[in-house]
Amino acid sequence: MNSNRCVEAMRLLSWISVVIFILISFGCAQDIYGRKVVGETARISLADAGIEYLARIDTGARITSVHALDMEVPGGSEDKKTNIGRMVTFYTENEKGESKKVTTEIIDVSSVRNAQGVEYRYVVDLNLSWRGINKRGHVNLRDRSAMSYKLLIGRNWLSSDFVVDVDKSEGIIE
Amino acid sequence: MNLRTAMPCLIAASILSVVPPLSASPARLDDKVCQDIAGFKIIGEMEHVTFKPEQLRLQARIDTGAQTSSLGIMSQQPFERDGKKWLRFSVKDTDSEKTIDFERPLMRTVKIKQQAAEAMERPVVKLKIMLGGVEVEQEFTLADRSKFKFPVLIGRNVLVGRYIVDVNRKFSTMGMREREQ
Repeated sequence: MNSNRCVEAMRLLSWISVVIFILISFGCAQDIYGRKVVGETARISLADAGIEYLARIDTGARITSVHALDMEVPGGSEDKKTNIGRMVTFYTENEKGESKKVTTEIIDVSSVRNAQGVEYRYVVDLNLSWRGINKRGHVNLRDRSAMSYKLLIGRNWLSSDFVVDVDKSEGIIE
Repeated sequence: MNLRTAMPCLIAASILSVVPPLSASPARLDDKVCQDIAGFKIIGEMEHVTFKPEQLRLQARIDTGAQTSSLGIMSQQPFERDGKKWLRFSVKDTDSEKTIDFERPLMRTVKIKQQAAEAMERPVVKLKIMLGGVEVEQEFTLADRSKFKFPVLIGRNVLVGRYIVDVNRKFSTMGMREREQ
């Protein structure tokens, strides 16, 4: 009787450890040489504003970029570069159409060359969060209405903390 | 009754199931060397790729944001071989400044939408490359990439299932070239 109960207890214990193992391996981000493995897309939220995006992870982009509309710089001038240090207020929207207002400091202006010529974008410092991991990073503000992914994660956010395995994905926007 | 035989198995099972996630982080890697992890090659944000059999080595941007890989060409000329559509195209060897001619069957063409410009058609061919000691044959879009810093763009169609990209590395597959020959 007693030994049967002991076997039962051991069996239960081994099942519990199997469940714990499964939870650990799937619940947490995979880790290789201290870097988390992120897929071709990831659900990343803007911690300060409380809005989540399905983000495209893009090692081809130097800097992270987020969808920004109706940018306003109180007391600012037309020349974006002179507004560095001022506060900017903008609306950001995720792929589901949810919208949040964000006010933050302009820390830089980046020039982006594309087919239309040179475009200047405000750069701000934002706290982005993925699976409980928070990381601050430079993000440029841009109207991404025409693009499927409203948040594009560039190399600056991935650097030193993440590696990319495009086999993995947290969703695809057609 | 089976306690004596069952106990060690159960204890072993419980220990084994908890230990792997705790011991999953291997020793620190030498960043200069391209490593194999669980069958994946770790590559950097830019790498050298060698096109075969032409043995043309070019610098490539590793771009997880691009679906299809792309190769910059200088000129192209369609022709027919055995009743099939082929393409002759020339690629500039950035090391020697020479042009290398390629001939490949034309797989298809893709329409590229650009915000300002009108839709452009680009040819797609299959190319064999060596990247990080691994040979991969995949579709490449051929385009004029003279305005871009890198003549080659490696997109997800090459990366998937083979490589993990670590943007803190650059040209980390250099040491593997000897083995490629």
